[in-house]
Amino acid sequence: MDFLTILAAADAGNAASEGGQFGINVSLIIAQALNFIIVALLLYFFAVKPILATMDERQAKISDGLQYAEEMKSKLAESEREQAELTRKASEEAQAIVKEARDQAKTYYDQQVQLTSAKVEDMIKQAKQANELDRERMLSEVRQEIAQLVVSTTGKVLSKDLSDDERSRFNDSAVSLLHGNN
Amino acid sequence: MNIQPEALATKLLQLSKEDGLVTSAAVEKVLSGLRELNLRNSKAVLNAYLSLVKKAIREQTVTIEYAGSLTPEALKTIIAKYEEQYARKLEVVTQETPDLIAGVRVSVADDVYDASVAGRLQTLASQVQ
Repeated sequence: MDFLTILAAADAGNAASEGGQFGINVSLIIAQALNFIIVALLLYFFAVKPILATMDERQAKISDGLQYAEEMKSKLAESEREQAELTRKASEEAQAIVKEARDQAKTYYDQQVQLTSAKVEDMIKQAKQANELDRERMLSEVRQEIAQLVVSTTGKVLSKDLSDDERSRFNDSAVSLLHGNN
Repeated sequence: MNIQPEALATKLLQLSKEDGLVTSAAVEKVLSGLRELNLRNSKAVLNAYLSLVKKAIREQTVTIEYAGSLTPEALKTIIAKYEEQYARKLEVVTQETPDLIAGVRVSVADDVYDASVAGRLQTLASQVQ
């Protein structure tokens, strides 16, 4: 016998034992309805209502959190915008400073070049003047030495070659010269 | 008696001259007189007097340098010339200086009159320089 056959036989047995009644008991139904209502009320007040309150509270918290997150997001965006603006301004100022520094450096460089050029020209001029002075001094020394040499040599020659008679005549001439001068 | 040393020295210098020239004899007399006076500031007076005597001797002395020989007539001519020029009597010092080569050089105080060969050569040398 298969399983369906056994189940049909068992069901037929139960129907025979109940004797042909529908089984409706009004008092039992009312009692069960009251029980149901009581249980439902108990469940509503002690389970569903606290759970709903907790859910509302959590919903509020979640909502607050979401609102806070939104605010934070907008603040973050604002902050990012401000930061970007600050960065842009700082970048512009930095560029301006760099440009000014470059301009100043260029001006300073030009000035230094001019100064150095002037100094170099002065140095060259002074060196030329020093060379000229050295040359003049050397020429003067040479002239002086030559003149002294000529005078010395001439004096020696004259000292040796002049006779006493010539000296006497020169002396007379010198006396006449002195006598004639005032 | 408090006399200024310079003023006293000037008066002493006048006493030290004989015939317009400072002589050693006159100076000796002045010095002996100073010793007798025994002045309080005798050192200052003597210093001032010494300075004035040195200056007077330099101014009254004509130094005649020459090379070779110089005749007495030439010497007289030179003395007369400079006594006339300076309008005072001069004491003559002659000196033979072979470095002059030939010629004469006359010095009176700080004035020098050079008519020597060496002097002319030196003038030539300075002109060349």
